[in-house]
Amino acid sequence: MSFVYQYILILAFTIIIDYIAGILIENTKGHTRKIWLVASIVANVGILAFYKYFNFLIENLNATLQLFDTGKELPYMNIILPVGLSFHTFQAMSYTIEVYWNKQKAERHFPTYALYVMFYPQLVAGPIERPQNVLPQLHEYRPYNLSNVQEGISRMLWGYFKKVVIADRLAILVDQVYANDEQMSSMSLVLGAVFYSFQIYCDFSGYSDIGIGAAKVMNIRLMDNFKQPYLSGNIATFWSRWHISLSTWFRDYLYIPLGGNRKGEGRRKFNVFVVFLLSGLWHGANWTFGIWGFLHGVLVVIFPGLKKIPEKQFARSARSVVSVLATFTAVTVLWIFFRAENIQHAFAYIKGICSFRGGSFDVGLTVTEILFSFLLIVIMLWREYKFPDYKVKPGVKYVTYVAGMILVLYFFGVFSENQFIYFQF
Amino acid sequence: MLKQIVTYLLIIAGCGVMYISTSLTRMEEISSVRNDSDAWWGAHNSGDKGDLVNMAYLDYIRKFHSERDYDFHRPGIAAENNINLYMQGDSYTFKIPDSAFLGVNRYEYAWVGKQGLAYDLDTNKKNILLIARTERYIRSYFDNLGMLQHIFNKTKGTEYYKYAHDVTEYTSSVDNIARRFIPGPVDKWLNKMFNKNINQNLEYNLFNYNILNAPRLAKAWLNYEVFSRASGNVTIADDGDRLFLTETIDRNKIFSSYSTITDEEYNNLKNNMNILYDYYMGEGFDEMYMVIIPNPVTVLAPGGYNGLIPRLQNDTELNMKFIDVYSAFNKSDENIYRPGDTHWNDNGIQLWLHIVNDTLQKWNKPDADNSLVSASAQ
Repeated sequence: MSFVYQYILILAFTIIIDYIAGILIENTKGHTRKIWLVASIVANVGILAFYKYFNFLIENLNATLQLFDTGKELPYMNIILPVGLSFHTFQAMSYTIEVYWNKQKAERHFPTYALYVMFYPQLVAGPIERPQNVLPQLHEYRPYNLSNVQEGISRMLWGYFKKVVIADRLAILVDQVYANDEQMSSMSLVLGAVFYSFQIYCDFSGYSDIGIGAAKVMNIRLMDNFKQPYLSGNIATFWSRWHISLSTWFRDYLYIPLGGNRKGEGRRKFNVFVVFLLSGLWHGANWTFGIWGFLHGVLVVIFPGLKKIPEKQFARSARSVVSVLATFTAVTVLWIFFRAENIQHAFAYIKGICSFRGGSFDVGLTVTEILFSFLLIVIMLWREYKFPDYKVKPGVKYVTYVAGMILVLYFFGVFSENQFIYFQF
Repeated sequence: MLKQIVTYLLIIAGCGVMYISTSLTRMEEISSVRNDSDAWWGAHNSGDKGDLVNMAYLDYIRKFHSERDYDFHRPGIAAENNINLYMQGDSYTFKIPDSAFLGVNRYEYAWVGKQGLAYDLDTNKKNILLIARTERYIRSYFDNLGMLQHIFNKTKGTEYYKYAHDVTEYTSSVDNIARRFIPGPVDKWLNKMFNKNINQNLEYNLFNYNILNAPRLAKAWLNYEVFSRASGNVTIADDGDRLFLTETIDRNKIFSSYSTITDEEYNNLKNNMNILYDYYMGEGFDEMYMVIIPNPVTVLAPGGYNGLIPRLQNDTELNMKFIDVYSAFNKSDENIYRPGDTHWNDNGIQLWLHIVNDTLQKWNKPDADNSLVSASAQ
């Protein structure tokens, strides 16, 4: 992941291709429409595949060649993944597909279309927007709106809090534990895994909050990307609340076109597996992501019956608490695959947990800071459960909130060089 | 009206800060003034307590303080002054005066990244090129052949740059395809604009003012006293008695003594070193030496060390000659590094000078046999 200015040309290339493709799809009929759609998808997926998966493919081909003891090795290429490529590629593809389905008119105004793809608050890590939501807003006159500015700032501050106060603090421990997992005690490994669950949530949802808040300041409404996923009672619910813009993208543009649940139970399960496997590999060119996605697919298929638990009941009943804890545990275990360097690393980590061994507790944070981190996590969960919106009444209360948050961010923020985790995808 | 004026002023101020932050020259001018000023607009400066102390705002912790006081003296009298020494170094070596070298007729020094090292070789003398770099920069430094842009022949001028450009382009990747579409001056400007220091420059220009020291010191105190951590890119050593630059211990950074070096990366380093060695030897240098100054953590906390220095020094496929200070630093019973600083103390620099001078003297022997000298330097 890197910012190389020359890569703007790639963005420019995809924007031009999809802009032209959109118009051509709208202007033509029958088979030709499909050709333009396919051309656009091939261009987008081709660029994504080259920059993200070329060396992954070579690595796997080389492993296969080694298996047959051919003594040959294909050369790798020195490719740097352009920042945010997966996000804006998917957003651009959603536009051409929607035009093809006649659900969206082709955008004739080139700067507006370019802005739709490059809208900076969500360019590098989503939410992956839909043209129907954003394009009309970009056409409208969006005057300055104080209430939206305040709400946007309020949400941005909350996003920064999750990123620099919680996620980057937890990252100190997580990085230390994952880098030295062989020496770590089982307790340290469990702590590393649990903290990673919250690190990635606070990191990614924090970015989404900042992005959505920044857009709100400009009077642009972006879709929500998270809805308290760790309070889900089963994996299916978790996926309806985690990275919603990606989940719905795969649902609308892959799961449903594959047949969804309309072609029998067997086909439905197959479709679920395909979606989750691809969703996993979307995150990165490593089989750890593939396994992570596949295992989520397995859990969704195995536990479909627990899907619907009423919100009110879930907070009150003991059964719901157990469901939430069980779901969180499953998600946390699967995050180990997501975070590990490779599959062997992930299994070694899980084996380390299951061995109930002693070992190092040198986890990079003191006991005081670990307890403080737990307190922050509880505050974060409570606040998002109790106050899911970001509206703060203007006046003294609002000013106090903003000033208080800035002080908290400054004094308790961990200002390291940690990028947002999802920037690498 | 007032709103508009404020808006335009903010835009102008923003553009000004961006311009300064992207300009190496302007940054040097501004920091040279602000770093030495105690006024409210001056930058935080812990004096000579240590650069890590300064970065972490831990001025109040005395155990991390140490003066950077080097005692350079003439190392003795050489039999001959037969060496013209061209040295490219960094912050470790820039203070060394020519009088600290033994038997050197002419000494040219350049701080890499700040100055170019220009040479015109005197065939009546032994021309030695010495690259002295701290370990944390080795991997990024030899990742490509960019060094050709910093050490150049005075008489060849631009011809040399052309060679450097061709070689760099040839050895790098598909990413250069995009670069072909960008006109040269625009490419140069954009590279300058998105330079690697832009984040720290912006932070310096926007937030590093003496007037903001109080909350920064308070935060440093909170982190140190409550969470036992240091602010900034600084880590407290396990024994609590010294500070380390975090990037030298972060396994995810190529500056780190602990991050893994893949065979692919190592072979690339080796290949580039050999190309550079052949190039400069072809230019007429009598020898080209490399001396790698170990990161403090490499010597003081060697558990988990990636072994970069010994691996390079013992690699028989490398043509480059190494002056080994790594072994001497490891064997030394004395403290080599300052506790609150990324640099060495007087013991370190004296030991380094002793080893370097010892190697150089072999070139002052009449009719020195180059191959023997080269072998003994390993």
